[in-house]
Amino acid sequence: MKQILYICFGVLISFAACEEVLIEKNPSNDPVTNFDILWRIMNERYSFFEYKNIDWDSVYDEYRPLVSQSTNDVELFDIMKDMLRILEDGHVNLRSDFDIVRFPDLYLDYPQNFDRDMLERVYWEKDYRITGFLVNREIQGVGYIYYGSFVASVTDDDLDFVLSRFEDLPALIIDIRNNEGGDPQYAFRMIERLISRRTHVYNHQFKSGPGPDEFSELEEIYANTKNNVVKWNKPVYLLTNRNVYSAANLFTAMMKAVPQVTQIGDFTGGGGGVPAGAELPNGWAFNYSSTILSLPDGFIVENGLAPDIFVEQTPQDVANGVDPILDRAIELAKAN
Amino acid sequence: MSLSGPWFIKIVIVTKKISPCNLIVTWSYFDLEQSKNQMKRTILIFAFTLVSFMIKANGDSLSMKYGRHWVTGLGLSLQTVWDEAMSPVRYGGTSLRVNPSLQKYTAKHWRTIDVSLGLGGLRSSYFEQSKRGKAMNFGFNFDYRYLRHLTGFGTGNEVFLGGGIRTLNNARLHSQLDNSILPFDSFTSLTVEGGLQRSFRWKQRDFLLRYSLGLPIMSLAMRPNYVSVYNFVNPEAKFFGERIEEHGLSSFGSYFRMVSKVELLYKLRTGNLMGLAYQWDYYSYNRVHQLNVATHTITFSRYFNY
Repeated sequence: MKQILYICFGVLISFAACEEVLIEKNPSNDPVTNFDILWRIMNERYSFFEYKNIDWDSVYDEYRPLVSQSTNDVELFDIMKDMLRILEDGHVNLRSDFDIVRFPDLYLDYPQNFDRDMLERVYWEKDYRITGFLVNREIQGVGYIYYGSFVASVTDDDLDFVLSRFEDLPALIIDIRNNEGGDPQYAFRMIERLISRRTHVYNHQFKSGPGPDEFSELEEIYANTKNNVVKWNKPVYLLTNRNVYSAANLFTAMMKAVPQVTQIGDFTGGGGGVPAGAELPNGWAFNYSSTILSLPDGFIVENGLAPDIFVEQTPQDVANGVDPILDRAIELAKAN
Repeated sequence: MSLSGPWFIKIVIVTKKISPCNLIVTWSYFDLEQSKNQMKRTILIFAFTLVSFMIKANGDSLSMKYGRHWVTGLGLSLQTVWDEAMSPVRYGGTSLRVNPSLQKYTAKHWRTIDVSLGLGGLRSSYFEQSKRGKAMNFGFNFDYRYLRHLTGFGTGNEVFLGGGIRTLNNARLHSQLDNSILPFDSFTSLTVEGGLQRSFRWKQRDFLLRYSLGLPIMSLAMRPNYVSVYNFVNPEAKFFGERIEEHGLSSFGSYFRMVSKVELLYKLRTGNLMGLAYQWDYYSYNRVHQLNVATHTITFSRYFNY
């Protein structure tokens, strides 16, 4: 029995010790290693270096000397933040316990072209329905929907209700200004009401390996039409501004493939890469764009989509209680 | 090769003597530390385990005869994971495992159907410095093994050899990773299986000591894509369909697994058995994202005749 116990004990300690040999060693958790790992993962997985013409090696040469073993967490975070901001990508962020990197220049450097408070007081006039998360009302004989976030779910019942409500009206305005994105499935749920057949809406490629040219095959993405629901085949006016980002930008890209849709307002903010996540040894998490999304004609949507009709709203317009973007849409809608 | 290394000293302290087994232990560890070849290291560990068992298991006593058993097992696992798709650092943690199985043992063969379900938590190696590195892990394994008696049926020292099908499915839910939230691995393998069984009496009671080993020779492997993101921007993409499309055929070059189990069974008066098992399950995969996982599991089980 004693011998058997020896065997069991020997096997136990031998396998326990094996792990130290067989499993990959931990990188050290110091500022230099954390910086290097962040740079390396971005270098291997970020999808827009070529499109944005960024020399990531030279970025390393510029920022790496700023980090040493004595760099504290806040200093390290700020160095990483400055490095990541070079990418000008709203899908790139870094999250620690004390701060989050974001890229507000996407919209702060441009006119806002949206004032919800004024819109609500002057155009919605306290007399609107909120169906699910869709604000909707008839404005001057035109159907109007405001959808503020793709994080908020849109159901088939919501869409059936709203589109039925407007079925006698000549056109529909979908206002997605300041919609920063969320779940693309709601974009598909909306567009399937507007198309009469399976439609090629965009192209998509994943980063598929660490090399700069390693991408998956170009995949054509289609939206399908839906039967037995309320459909809309009359004109649609889509209102956008620079704060339309990510899934909302994707929705705008998809709407470009629908013939009866006209985009009015400002450029969208962009965000044409699906964000993927990773983490550093110190526990900080970060996101990066991992795909390239393009229109059927090959145009990459990362930096935003131009409107068919460019209209701006000035601070004076807001002060005067005027929304020229919405006004232009109403004007065109009434002409149908 | 030095026989004065720290492992040798430790094992001699435990066993208080120099034996062939101890020499193998020492040699294995010495060579493990020298070798960078993972395959070689693993084979050495296996060789040590196998030889040490055969050296020690040479007594005589009652052997197990025929039997069919329904086995219920409850185990606790300690897992170490290094998954490049999840983190650059190791994660470790414990999980609870439930192991129902069916076993049939005759003069010709030993057949088993094993299921293992696990649920637990993982923490980053640097969790003490940053509390953000936390994940949940889920596991589901299904194994079928068929082993033939090679020698020794009824003698108390029995050797088995055969094959099997082993599936291994692990997923880690790491909410920090946003759309890459679910790194996973799934392998379905054809395996070579070996087993040794030694029965003995101790203090008027019957015991069985079993050692078994499984090594995959050909496997279907599934892992997340390079950026670990499910293709949710394509409404026509199907989660499982995508995974199946991404599967790859793997052999020793890219996927290596070793399941080594020692089990001590105590025969009850009813003919049922009580078991205490220790299993070491190690696997590595080096396509797309590297992966090393080692799991130690202690299982208490009850074998019911049926």
